[in-house]
Amino acid sequence: MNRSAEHPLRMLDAKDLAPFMNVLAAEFDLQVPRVEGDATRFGPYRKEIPCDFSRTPPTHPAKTLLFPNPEVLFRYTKDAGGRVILSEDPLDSGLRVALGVRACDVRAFEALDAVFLRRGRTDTAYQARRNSLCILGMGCVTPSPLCFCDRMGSHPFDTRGMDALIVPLAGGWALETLTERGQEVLNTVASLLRTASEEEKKQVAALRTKGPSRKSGMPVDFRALAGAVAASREDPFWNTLAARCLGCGICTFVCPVCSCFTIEDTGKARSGIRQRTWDSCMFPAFTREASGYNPREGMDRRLKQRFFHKFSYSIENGEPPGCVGCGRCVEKCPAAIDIREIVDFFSVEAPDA
Amino acid sequence: MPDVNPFIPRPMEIVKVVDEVSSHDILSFFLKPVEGEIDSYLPGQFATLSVFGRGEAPFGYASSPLERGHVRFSIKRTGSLTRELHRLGVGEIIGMRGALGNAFDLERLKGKDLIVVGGGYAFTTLRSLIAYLMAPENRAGVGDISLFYGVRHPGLFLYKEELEAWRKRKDLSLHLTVDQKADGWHGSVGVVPELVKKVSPSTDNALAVICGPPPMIRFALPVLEALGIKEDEIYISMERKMKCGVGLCGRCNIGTKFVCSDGPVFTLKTLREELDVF
Repeated sequence: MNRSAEHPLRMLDAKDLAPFMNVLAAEFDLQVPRVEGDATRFGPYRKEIPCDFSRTPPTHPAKTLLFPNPEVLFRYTKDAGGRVILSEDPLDSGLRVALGVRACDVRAFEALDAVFLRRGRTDTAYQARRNSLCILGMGCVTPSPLCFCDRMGSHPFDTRGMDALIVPLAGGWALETLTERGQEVLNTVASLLRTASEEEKKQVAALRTKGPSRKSGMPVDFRALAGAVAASREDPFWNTLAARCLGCGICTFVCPVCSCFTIEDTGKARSGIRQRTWDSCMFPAFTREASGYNPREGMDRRLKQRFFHKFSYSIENGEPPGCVGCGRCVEKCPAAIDIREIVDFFSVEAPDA
Repeated sequence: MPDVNPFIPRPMEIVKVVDEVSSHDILSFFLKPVEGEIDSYLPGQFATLSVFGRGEAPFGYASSPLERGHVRFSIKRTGSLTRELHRLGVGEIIGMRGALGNAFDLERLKGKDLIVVGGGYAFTTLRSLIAYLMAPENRAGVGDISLFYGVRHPGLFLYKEELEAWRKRKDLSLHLTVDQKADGWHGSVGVVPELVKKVSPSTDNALAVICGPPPMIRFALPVLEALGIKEDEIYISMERKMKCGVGLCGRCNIGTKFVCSDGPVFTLKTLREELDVF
């Protein structure tokens, strides 16, 4: 879809970035990649907290915007008569603007949608957050050497699911509006934007053309991959990986697609909250039953569950693949388990790539 | 209808508690809503029960939907939540979400003979089905019912009075067994699959329903298949650890299927072909 005619490319000069964010934060719930020690993570914009838009991708996945950890499901209080009163926190309503989300994380939102909106009962809190989100996405001019979105059906300037695309240039940000919602949000900062010069338009066009041509490896044929993985249950390949895996679960916590959670009560019998927190299929307790029986006893079974879910079950169930190629797990795994090697092992050339 | 928060339980009052077995570790809780009507359910479905401040867990309905005025859950003291539940008495309030999951295929049971195979504590969900089918308004709809039920020793049979009542009826053949000889026990001794083999109920027009510990299921399946029941005529009620019960939290899947939202009742055919189980 070419909207360039109705929405000409706008430019935000680098000096206006702070006012730009101040205006957006005054109008909306503005979420930015904030610096937290050595890491970056999306959180509410605050003048005094530095942000860093240079990480490709941010250290923590943008799923925190839709699937916070922890998250209150409801609050309970018991009165003197033993009557139980349950209350829910209000759902998100006003627009929440996420600035600088990368294509990989936006692709991951589609996988999260398949779980929280279509797989079982509708998750109403997720739905409210999803509906109130406006994504001012950002193209990746210098993708990480570890990421591989281009193999997973996307590319560094993929705009699907975004409301506007930001392309960082030397002197500032070029902004391309993609949806009415994006336009509505950018209208509030119109006075800070100018029309892009011919040279800037050329630069953006060049980057956007270069994006899809990035080749970190052969694009994956997901159907073929699903078939190969499904047939590999007895393959010793998994035991080799399982022997290295420490079961720490960091792959699942930094994964933008992983969405398994547990539910727990905190508080006393009289009052407290029931909340959900992120959980991991890498942990033995994830499936261990009260009797002590665990259908996934053994690291190999847990490892298989993770990758079968990502590359086989999700495809079989008509859901998006469980990996968007962000490379975070590749970077963080202390045992150097590399999801790209798993993809490679199970073959996988797209027929028309 | 707009979607509602699927995690909100309904306050339920405990109206009766029954100590079911000689080991005193299985109690039946009879519940009714603090306000309003009981939510409809079918045999084979489950609900989560919660003690506020402690947590929640899934339990199969033990009652038949035809029982009025209460729902019943038989709960074995196993972990921290069930320990807490067992401390509660009549008049206290717990949370409940349900009915969840699918149910036994009641439409397909019509006009069929039924072979029910149960072991241990898992018999509770089969009780819901049998009580439902034995009710006067349903009994004529199904053919012969053969019930096989085994426990470790006689004191561990659930619903003893009801078993006695069923034993006296002509339209149900009851086959009970215990693992080892015991004083005062004059019935069958041995494991459930052996008893099924010995009795060899007719399978010409039969469906089978199994619920029990995984080893019992594993040994009962070849017996049933040798008797001539096909794998799409055997229903198995599965269990997995669950949190959400509504297909979201991700832990109860067996392959592509979620036990909470696609099950808990599956045919053997589905389990074998699609899920690589049994």
